[in-house]
Amino acid sequence: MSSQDLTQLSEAELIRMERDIARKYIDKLSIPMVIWPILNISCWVALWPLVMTGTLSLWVAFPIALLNIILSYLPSHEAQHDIYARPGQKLRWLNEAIGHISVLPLAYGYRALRLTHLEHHKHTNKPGLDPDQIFNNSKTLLGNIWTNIQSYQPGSEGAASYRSCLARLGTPETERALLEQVGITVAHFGVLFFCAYHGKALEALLLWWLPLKMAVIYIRVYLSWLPHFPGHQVGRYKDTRAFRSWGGVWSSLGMTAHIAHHLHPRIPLDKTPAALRELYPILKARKSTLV
Amino acid sequence: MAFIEKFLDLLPVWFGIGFLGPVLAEIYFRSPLNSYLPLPATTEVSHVYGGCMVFGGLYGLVAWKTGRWI
Repeated sequence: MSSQDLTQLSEAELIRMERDIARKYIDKLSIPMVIWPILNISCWVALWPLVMTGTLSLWVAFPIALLNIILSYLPSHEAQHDIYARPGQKLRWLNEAIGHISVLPLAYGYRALRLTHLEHHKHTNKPGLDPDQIFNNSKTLLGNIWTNIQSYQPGSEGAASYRSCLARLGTPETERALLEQVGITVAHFGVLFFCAYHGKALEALLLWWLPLKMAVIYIRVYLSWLPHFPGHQVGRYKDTRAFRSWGGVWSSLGMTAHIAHHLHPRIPLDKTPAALRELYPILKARKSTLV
Repeated sequence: MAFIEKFLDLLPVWFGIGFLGPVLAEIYFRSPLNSYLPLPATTEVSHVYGGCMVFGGLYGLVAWKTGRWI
């Protein structure tokens, strides 16, 4: 299939083939994607009492917390695209529950992430409209890591990117998202201060604050910068690419197949590599970037 | 709401006092650092915490004013 030459097919035929492939993967509940957030959040929450009671070394817990926080975004991302269930469907509550709960370790609100992420899909790589674009135009990996570190500066453009996007949208839903984000930020810092007050600042540092900063960099590199590299191309078949990762598709959290997600956002994450394999000849005919 | 906005605007300062300071103090007390840099016997633990929190608060204030931690 992947070696097929489809360049002779008409636009209508290519669209039909693409839709037929996507339809095979959409609207089927992915059990691994349900189990993932439950195990992940349970593990991260369990680290706190285990470390506080001295059952688990903080130095063992730190890399586990880092992994948990890295893994906390994607289940919520599935929910942002209504992949678990659409509005009105029986499992809609599961979609919303996973959306809200799985990103708590990231100290980010589901509503704010959903609204800004949908803008990213609508305006991929367009400066001023795509809230992720500011993180995607670095030429090198080190440059991208530095851009992300800069976004932790209180007065940086990166720090204000999502807030500006929500302000630009200016709907009642964005107001609600901003309020929710304020609550989560206050709660996040409240936990850090509470731990510090009780002599557990290092625990809070290594279970949440530091892994959070590191995880956000990893997430932005793999979920944003690499799939959209070089970060300025626009158009359905140009703004996202397929690429190779050092440890295969899962070292990139499935993002080597991110182009399949941008074309058909309701394909579950664990099915995007298979969907990409099938879409390959179509994307080749479309002259997409496929490494 | 205005109070919360002001509180969040000054977050670098609260972060410096409430978290960065205690982290520095705990790094001193819970790592071998205190044997390499011993304090005079009369120094109380609360003085070290207080000093670190003042440092954290001032650093946070500079970050808030300049918009940069580094």
